[in-house]
Amino acid sequence: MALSWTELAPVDQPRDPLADFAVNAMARFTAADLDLSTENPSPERKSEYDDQWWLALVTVARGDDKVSSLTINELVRKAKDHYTKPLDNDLLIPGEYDGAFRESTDLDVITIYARRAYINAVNEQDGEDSLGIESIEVSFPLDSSTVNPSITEIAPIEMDLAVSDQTVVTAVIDHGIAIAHDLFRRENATGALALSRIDFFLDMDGTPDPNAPIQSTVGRVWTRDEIEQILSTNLHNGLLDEANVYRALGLIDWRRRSINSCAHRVSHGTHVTGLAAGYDAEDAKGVERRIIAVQLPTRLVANTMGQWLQQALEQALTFIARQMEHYTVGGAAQATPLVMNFSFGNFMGPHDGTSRIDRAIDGNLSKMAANSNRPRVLMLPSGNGNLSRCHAIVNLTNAMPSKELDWNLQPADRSASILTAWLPVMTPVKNGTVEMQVTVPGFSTPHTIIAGTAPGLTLLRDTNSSGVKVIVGMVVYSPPRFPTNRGRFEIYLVPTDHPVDVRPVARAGAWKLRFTKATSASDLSLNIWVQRDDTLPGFPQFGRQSYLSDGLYDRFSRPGGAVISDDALDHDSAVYRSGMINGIACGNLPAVIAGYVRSDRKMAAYSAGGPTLNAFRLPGPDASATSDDSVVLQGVLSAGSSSGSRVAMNGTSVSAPQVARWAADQIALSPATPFNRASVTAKALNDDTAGMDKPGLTRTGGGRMKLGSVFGDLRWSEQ
Amino acid sequence: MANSSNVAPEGAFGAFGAFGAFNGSGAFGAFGAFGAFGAFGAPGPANPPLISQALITNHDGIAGNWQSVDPTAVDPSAQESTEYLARLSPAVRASIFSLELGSRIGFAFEPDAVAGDPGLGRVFHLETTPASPVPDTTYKLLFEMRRPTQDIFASQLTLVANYADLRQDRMAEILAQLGTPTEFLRAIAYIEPARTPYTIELLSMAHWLANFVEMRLKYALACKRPIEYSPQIQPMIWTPSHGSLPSGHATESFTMARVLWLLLRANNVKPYSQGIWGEMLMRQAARIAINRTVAGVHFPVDSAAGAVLGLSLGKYFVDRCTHTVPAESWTFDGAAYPEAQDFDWRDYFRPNNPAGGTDPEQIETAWATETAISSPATNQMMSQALNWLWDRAADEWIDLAEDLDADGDES
Repeated sequence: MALSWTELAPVDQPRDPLADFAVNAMARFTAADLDLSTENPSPERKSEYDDQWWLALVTVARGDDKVSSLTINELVRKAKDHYTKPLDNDLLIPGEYDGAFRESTDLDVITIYARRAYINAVNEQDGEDSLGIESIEVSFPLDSSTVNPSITEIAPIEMDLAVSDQTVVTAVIDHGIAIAHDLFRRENATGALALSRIDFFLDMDGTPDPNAPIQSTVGRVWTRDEIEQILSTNLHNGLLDEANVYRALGLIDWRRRSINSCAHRVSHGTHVTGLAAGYDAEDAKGVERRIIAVQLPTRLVANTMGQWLQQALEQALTFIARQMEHYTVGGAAQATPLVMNFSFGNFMGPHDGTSRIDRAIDGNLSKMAANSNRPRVLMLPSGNGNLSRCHAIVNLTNAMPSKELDWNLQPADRSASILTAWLPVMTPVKNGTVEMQVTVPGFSTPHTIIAGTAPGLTLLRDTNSSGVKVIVGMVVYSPPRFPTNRGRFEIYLVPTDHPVDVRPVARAGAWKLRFTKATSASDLSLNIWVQRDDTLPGFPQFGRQSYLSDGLYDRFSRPGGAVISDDALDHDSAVYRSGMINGIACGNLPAVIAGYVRSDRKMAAYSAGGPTLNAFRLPGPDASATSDDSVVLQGVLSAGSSSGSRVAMNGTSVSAPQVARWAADQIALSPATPFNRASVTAKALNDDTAGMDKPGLTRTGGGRMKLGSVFGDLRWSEQ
Repeated sequence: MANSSNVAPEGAFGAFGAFGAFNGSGAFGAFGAFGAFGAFGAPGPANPPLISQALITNHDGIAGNWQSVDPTAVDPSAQESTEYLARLSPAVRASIFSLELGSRIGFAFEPDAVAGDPGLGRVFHLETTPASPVPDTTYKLLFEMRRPTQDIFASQLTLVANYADLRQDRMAEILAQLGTPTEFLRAIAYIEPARTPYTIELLSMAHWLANFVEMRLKYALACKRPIEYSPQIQPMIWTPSHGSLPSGHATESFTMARVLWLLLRANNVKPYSQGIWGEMLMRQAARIAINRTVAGVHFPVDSAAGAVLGLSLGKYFVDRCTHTVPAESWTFDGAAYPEAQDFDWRDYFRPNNPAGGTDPEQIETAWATETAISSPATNQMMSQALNWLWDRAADEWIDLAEDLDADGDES
């Protein structure tokens, strides 16, 4: 075991180091996690690992005029004609992208499915020229059985869903959505709960079926007719045999998967969908609240780095937009309002609305809005990371040009750990403006990387049992790039542990970071975020959250005392609670919802807030809604996985869908009235007038919305 | 090591632990599990030394000189009379019922029933005539079972590994279900020790029969447990010492569920003839069976084998109790079980709605088939003792409804 630093010359550097890290440096861990071979047995020199499909968010390169983008069809041609070998078999364009979109020269961020060979070719120095991809951000490999590699452009199908002008569609993108719960069903003429309010269900874990009425690139789309067919064949003695329903849908399949969230008593997606659009079967309002549900791939959710979900989110939005084409009101298309909810998040990103996923969300919402004169809104949670110690602000001045900070990696962390330090907007960054020195626990040679006009990449390598040097980490500097225009230092580290012997692993402990500004440079602030990598509830132990510390951060008011959930006025640590807002919730258009405790009206200690660096969203959240009934009765009640059951779940994940429910009601009252983020803030400001007890703007946004409790009267009747 | 519960022949049978030691009157320790049933739980009438000492001196003090007794002063008791059963302790009755059930069961293992296939374990029902001086007897096939192939077990192992996902969710159930299934059936039917003592006793005998048969089959078929196939299964409870297939929990809970629903319906009491009662009892039995896979001690195919066996034994038990000639035998061919198939109780039983005119039925699959017992002896001996117990248990479910006229009004 001997650590060493290796600086790569610019020509040897991948253009997107994080994609390179995820696909190549992490290969030995990922392959072990997925039980894939990395050997190359085939004549094409491909391993099982090479055959995996990765979802990727890519920024499409500009064409010759430097303004319009290349088209998707050009991307495919470039892949086919690649100078090393044809790569079109390693690239899959989502079938959901229609012919017009494939010819569009107005592309920014799109999703592709790609294999390692394509991703690596994109990452070559000439990748932008040779393949037309400006930048790439990859997911985790998808389950091969869920991908339809022969998909082509999916032709629109004839399907007319005539609805009333009171109908609002609620779309929920989540994981573990038990769609057969009785809160999503209605009675048929004989009184059986055989009718579904789910019009479309995309199960990204599903197996593509060539006979399905609606084809998809990943998973299986179920239409309401199909769902109702399954419901009616599984009703016995007036009750639904849910085990058989989910077996028929493939949502619970112990043969294929070791995680079947809908088999759990509590499932995130069921709870969230219940809050957003669950109605008792006899509640007339349910007739007018139609549901589109998208189940995210289990693998991407289980792998705890929330960043792998962004690509799936973009695909989900595209899917939802396409299904909205089927609804008609009095013969008119695109006349049905849509409220969407995505109760997931992460910590990373520039937090200024310019990340690929922020742009993809805003782009999709704008496109949807342009096609319809009815509201299209998306609710996002502000996140639960308030106390996670994953944000720091390092102010460097001539009086204090240097600042030290510890990044603490926990032992037994089986997921990668990632840190980004964003420079202020500077174009260009002058050479030597600021530097980051990294000291590895137990390794006496620190490494310093310097910001400037050129990218920098240094490998941290350790020797394996055969004496071969293997990458355990990367220290990266990336110069500013449009549209974020901020340079950044990054560190990517492999897991600190793995049950299979794939050593070497990264060293747990305090990684010491020292940031130093050049005396010639003006004062500057670095914004540091550590990526989320904690294990989600209900999943097997996997990631453990790394965090920042500098010795000045007070967690508790006194030893054993209450947790401090707001940075004090005299806060002197570089580590902040503020700014821990969900990294994908910093765009211009989504409504972002924080969480508060109903009984004492205080913000939930975990509920993350702003500020953000986006001028259109400086405070962070737009509003807050209940995330806990009380400190003792944590969470709020909603649907458990099984029909008839109600369970408690907390987090800003449950705040957002309550606002989605309220929004659907508001929109139904006046469908032609515009409804957007500002409508949510207005309600919050109205419900929570300024006063001594009103939480800070960056925690609560417009204020604490009074929405009533959806199912809370099961706990106490005054709710 | 904390595995004393594992000493009992089957986890669920731990309740019957006293049978293992058989120290006389302690036998019904089983019912200790029912708090309120303490009377049954106590080791028979107590003999505290202080009382015995007192009774000795008390006798010396008051008995006086011996008076001989005239034989005609006392009448002999009627022999082989079921009325006597009511005077016996449940523990003693259990011994009697055990012989009534167990003495009519035969077993054989045929290693080469079909060349190249795993052997067949066969359970027989013994038809007997009245004894003069010994009965004429005929064994009739009641159940036969073949174990799955190694390919099937290996494929099933993936299901066991994946089911571990539910361990956190199900831990309380899994541990509680180490006791008798009656605890879980009583959440559905209004079983309560003071209210339905004979129902509890009847269920315990059904439990006894299931265990009696399943253990012999497990021994003969010698199926390895999941823990023996992979070091990564790591069950969350002790793996019992006996074989994997058929699942004892599945056999016992399905036997008892079927017996209980037939009992509830014995007097045509309104609600119990609705299919939902059978639906719930079967869901409960299946949940108990599946929880054993979650725990990591059973393959899904074990539950399937246990369900088919249990449903058959439940019907057979009720036949024995109700003077009915057993007429069907069942075959579970484990080697024909689809390799990666999960367990679904609905493959084996339809809890149809008797109230709606469709009777519940045990159903066939490619690997679970029914055969009529050929020329069953209609004059075979019936068990008066079991019938006595059944009648008393059934009486506990007679509806205490108001007398209503045809319109549903009080008459």
